[in-house]
Amino acid sequence: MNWRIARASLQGTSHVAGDVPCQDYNKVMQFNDYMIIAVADGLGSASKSDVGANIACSAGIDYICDELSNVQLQNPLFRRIKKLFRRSVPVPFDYKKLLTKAVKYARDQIFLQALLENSQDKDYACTMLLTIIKNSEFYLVHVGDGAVVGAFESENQEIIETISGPDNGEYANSTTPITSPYYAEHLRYACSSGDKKLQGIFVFTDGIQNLCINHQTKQAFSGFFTPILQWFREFTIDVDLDDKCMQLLNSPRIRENSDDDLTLVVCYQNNQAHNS
Amino acid sequence: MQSNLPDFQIDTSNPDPRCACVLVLDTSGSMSGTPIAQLNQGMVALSQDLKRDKLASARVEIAVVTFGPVRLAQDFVSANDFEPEQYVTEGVTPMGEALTLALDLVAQRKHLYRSVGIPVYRPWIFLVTDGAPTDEWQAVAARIKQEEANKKVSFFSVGVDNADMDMLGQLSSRPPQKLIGYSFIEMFQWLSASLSSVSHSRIDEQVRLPGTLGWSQID
Repeated sequence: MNWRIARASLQGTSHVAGDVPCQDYNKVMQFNDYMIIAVADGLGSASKSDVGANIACSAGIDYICDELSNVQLQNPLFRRIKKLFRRSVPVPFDYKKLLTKAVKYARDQIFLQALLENSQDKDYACTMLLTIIKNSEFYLVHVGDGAVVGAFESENQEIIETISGPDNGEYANSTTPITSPYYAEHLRYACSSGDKKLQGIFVFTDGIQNLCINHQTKQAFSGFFTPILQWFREFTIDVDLDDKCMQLLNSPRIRENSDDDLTLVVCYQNNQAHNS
Repeated sequence: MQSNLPDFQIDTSNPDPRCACVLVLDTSGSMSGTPIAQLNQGMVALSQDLKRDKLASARVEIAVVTFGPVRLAQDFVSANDFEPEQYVTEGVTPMGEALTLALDLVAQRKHLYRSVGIPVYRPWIFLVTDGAPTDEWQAVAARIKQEEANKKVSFFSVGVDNADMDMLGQLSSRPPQKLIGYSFIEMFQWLSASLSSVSHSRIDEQVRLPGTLGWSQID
């Protein structure tokens, strides 16, 4: 399946004013049939959270790529078995376990960095959103705030739905980072279900979340997502989508309503590109 | 030709997060004269300062408990609508009862916010006294410490004149501040600036409060 991807992270206006670096980070990897999306938001209270967010994304993606290639490429027996049974028996693969281990690995890499820099683990505190897309299936793990929203085709209609909503702590200015000793209790998972076909997916941090997710119901606001998805769909193949995503984040309508760091990754099916 | 930007809308259904602050003010007989006059002026400064900050005036909610006789002088009101009255002095110092009421008010308010889906900042209780309690206070001191440890509330105390600073020190893990003279205006300006910082803070931002140098004595 042919996915197109647009992504950008932009320093918040309040961070520009306070000379604080952008503490959001995103990374994407296309790998065989897989699209892997990592987004992390370094906490404002942690001094090296920009580094933490960077390590979380890179380590999470590295781990998943390694594991998937081990299973699928370097194990010829597995491939032969899979080929044999492809049509009759679906080969089970435990994505939940893979994602859990990926977060654990990212956490360990952060702790290693803390050790090397003689810093405390919590200095690197960040949230994490890790999504694997394969064909029109998806699997994700989520720690902290930020959200994942999907556009699905259901009964010939496109619907916008929150796949994983923000997990805010007790107070408006708190959430649980992956560096927390209690992170395991805050791991949340989601995956595709058979009846709805994934057309597009939005992964973003809290700077965007406050503009398009209802805090109480966690419902996604389609007046935000539908026009943006449509806008991306109309770009021809030669357009730099990351550049367009950055323009979108830097637009007055977003900047005037959010002074926080902004990260948005939009991944969508290419099937409507000919419309332009 | 593709348009420059998509015509998307912003979800405006989300309410602003709120920060509840209960002022617990000693208006017992010993505060009469200059202290109460300065305190009243300080309260006016607080309400004016908060109103100048657009975000803080929408997000901060103030309640006032006074003692001499314990009285809810002002139930929670948005800082935008907060008009302090001129407090008069009477009675003794039932601080324990006043603090119990403040803790209950905060808990009820938080429950109310939650029930309608309004996100909250950690509430504040701000005590100002010039005396020593004339009622039982050990139980409420234990409750304050416990609620502070559980991050239920941030507790601040300020001693004026001959306030029993040792006793104030036993109320909470945060040491009490000793007011320089009757610099209530400076103190309330600090409170306003602190509440403004809190109400501007975002996810997991530990708020660095401004220094208390202008009004608090260093021992």
